[in-house]
Amino acid sequence: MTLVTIPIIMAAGAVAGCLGALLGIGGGVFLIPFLNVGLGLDLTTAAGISLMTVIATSSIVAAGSSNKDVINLRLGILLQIPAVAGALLGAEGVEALSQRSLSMIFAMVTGIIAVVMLARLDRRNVLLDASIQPGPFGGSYYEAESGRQIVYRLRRMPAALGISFSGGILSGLLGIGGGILQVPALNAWCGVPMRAAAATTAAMIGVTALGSAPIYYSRGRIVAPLAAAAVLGVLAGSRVGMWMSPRARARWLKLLMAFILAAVSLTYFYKAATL
Amino acid sequence: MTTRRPRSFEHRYRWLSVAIVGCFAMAFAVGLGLHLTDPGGEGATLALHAGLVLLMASPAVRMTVATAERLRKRDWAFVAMTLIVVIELAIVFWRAGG
Repeated sequence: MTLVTIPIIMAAGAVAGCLGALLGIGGGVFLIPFLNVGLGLDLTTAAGISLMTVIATSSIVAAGSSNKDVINLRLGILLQIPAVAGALLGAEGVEALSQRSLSMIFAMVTGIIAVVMLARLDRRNVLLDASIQPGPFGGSYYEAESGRQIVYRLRRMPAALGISFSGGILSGLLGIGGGILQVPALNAWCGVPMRAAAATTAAMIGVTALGSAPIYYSRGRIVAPLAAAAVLGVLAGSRVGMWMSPRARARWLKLLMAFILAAVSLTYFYKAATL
Repeated sequence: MTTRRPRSFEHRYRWLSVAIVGCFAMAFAVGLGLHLTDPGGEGATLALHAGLVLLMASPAVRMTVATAERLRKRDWAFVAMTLIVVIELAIVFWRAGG
């Protein structure tokens, strides 16, 4: 590690933090390929650093005020039950999988989600009648974009729990926040608007990451100076992402997310093939 | 005469979150500064690891505060769900320590 590495990682953290806060997916999915493929760190070290940035992104979202009406804490804590269990399983199982297998899993998951996002680009899945009861895990918020009160009800709860469990496993295995699965799935299958899914997930992924971060830390997988540089970058970048979030259009958020996920998927298919 | 408005839970929760972020950011900034002048030095290592521990503690602290508020409102479903997550996290820390 050279002195130049630290500002580079800080800048990468800032970009990942901005995109992460904007899309509610923690930013790990952007930082890991950069650290792993770009800087040549091994996948497990990249995952350890990424987990720290995921917790930082979540903390900055909780400290902000722009999304406070959109965050659904009750739904968030429900989804953390399977997510934390999955993260623990993932962190325990990561040593048993080869780097090639991990790369292949990463490539397949990101590819599938990119396709799902593109296929459902114009589906909104919200109940526009504000008089409808949101139920115990639904919510409502004012959307400036449409000038309406958005009311939504959680549908297909088993699917939401299953996806959170899978997201947790992925978080424990690869060091991502788990939001990469939760945000599109909650939006596409469970009737949660993109903005609510992104804000709720962003606020809660710190807890998911806590399901595996102590295990990575105890195994010496978190390089403190690199993690500190990435986290400081994320703190700056996520402020920008949070400022942009209420102003961004849902359709463009979905398109941006699908494009980035497709690029990450192709990168990791190539990496798995060449390992 | 002015009357002092009671501070809302959201207000306190937000400022607690800001304070936590400030603490670990400060530890990281100091640790990184020391690391750049004396790589691997004792002070740098101490500050950086203090920052990592503070960072990892932050979701747990926020969750505890949010649960205390829900307990006050007698939202038993929320409290029960949080309790399950806390038990899971206790297992994580036990596995990390073992």
